[in-house]
Amino acid sequence: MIQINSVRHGFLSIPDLTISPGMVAITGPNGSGKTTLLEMIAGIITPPGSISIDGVDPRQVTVGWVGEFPDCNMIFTRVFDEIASPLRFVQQPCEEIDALVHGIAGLIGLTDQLDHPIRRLSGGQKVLAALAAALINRPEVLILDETDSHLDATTLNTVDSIIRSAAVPYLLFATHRPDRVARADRVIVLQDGRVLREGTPDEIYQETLSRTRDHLTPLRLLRNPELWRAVYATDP
Amino acid sequence: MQLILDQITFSRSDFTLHAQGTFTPGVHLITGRVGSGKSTLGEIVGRALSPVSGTVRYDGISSSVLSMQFPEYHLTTTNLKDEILSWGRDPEPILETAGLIGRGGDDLLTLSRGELKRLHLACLITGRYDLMVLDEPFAGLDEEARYWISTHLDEHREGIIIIISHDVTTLPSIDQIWEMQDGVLTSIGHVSQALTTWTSAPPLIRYILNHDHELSGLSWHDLVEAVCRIHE
Repeated sequence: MIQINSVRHGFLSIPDLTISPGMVAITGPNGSGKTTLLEMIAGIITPPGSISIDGVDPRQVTVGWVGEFPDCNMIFTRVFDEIASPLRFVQQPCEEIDALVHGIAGLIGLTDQLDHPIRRLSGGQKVLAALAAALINRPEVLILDETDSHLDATTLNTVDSIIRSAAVPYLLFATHRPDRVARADRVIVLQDGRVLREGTPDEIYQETLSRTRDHLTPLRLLRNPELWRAVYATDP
Repeated sequence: MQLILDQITFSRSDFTLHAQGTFTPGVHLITGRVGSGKSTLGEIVGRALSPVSGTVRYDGISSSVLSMQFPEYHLTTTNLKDEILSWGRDPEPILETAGLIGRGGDDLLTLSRGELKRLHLACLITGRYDLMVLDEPFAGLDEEARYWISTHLDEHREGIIIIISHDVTTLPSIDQIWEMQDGVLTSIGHVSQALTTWTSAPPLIRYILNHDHELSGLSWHDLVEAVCRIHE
């Protein structure tokens, strides 16, 4: 379990939150604290209070992170070097790194691109390269911070199948997309720096609809998880 | 008024873009896979890039604007109020539209990327332009902001509006569908005819078309009505 207790950072305040293993969507309005919450779980921010991942401090847990524009966070020129970087930083043996990079590149479909400069990759390939770098040291937590914002359905399906095969215990992803929320095991909704609600995609959808009817109600009908399950059942 | 792409090409490394077509007043949707060349085409049309060959003709178009995916690229000042003023807009209504009331004096870098995008788009689409190119305007935006942008574009359908997006869940009413595939621009056609022949439509549209033969448009209103018919 990821356990968060009595945490405050800026406007974000979380008295008590438990996150079970699985796919967890973090959603909520712009500026509600999604990225801040993810940064705390990743150990990038260390606020007052308590955060633990299976009883361990986040800074002692292996965390993979892919952002909205992954190539903005890449520090190496060559695809191979970027994917290998998490292992090189912890001084793994070169032969082991070489084998692991080729292994994950094969899984992700980037073998032919390993010697190419990152800038020559397409947008989708850059996301896959960032995903490979995030997964190469077998993280216990994988965080995708609105990585889906600019991706088409085909590329997202590729990302999904890679993540499934990687079997990361905790997958947390911030998203605004209803099709992504529908695929989560649990959903955490943030608003104004606080956890507004937490539940399954269907519970969250029903609770959202049952609130006071407003101008967004018709638009919310397109967020129905049942609709998206039907879409992907006939069009996987 | 029309925008004419006359046999334009653009090359970068091993990628080559080819585009040919005429954009008339109305709302145009350009879709396609990541890396297919949509943003590059947007930058050419928005005058940020020049084609290697061919010409872009702006017949009767005297003003144009390009919204890039990175809202940071558009910043010219350091705080919200000055940024809004740099667009020639009145700060208070824009701050209200962007959901940022009371933050006019804040440093722009204190905003989340979503908030920054809301601010940028609120400044941009409240202007009057003959040609507006919006590259992934809905990416990273919450429900409220998407609703406002879509509604605003529906209520102010002036000139040529080009929306580059793969997200079809909050679109305004679309007139023409275009697709980029491996660097080549193809006209799918006017939405009323194109929906039945759009073989590479996104999954939600394919699902609706398979279950509801009355879908006549791509606006979120059209999609909601179709989904309601399917689930009746």
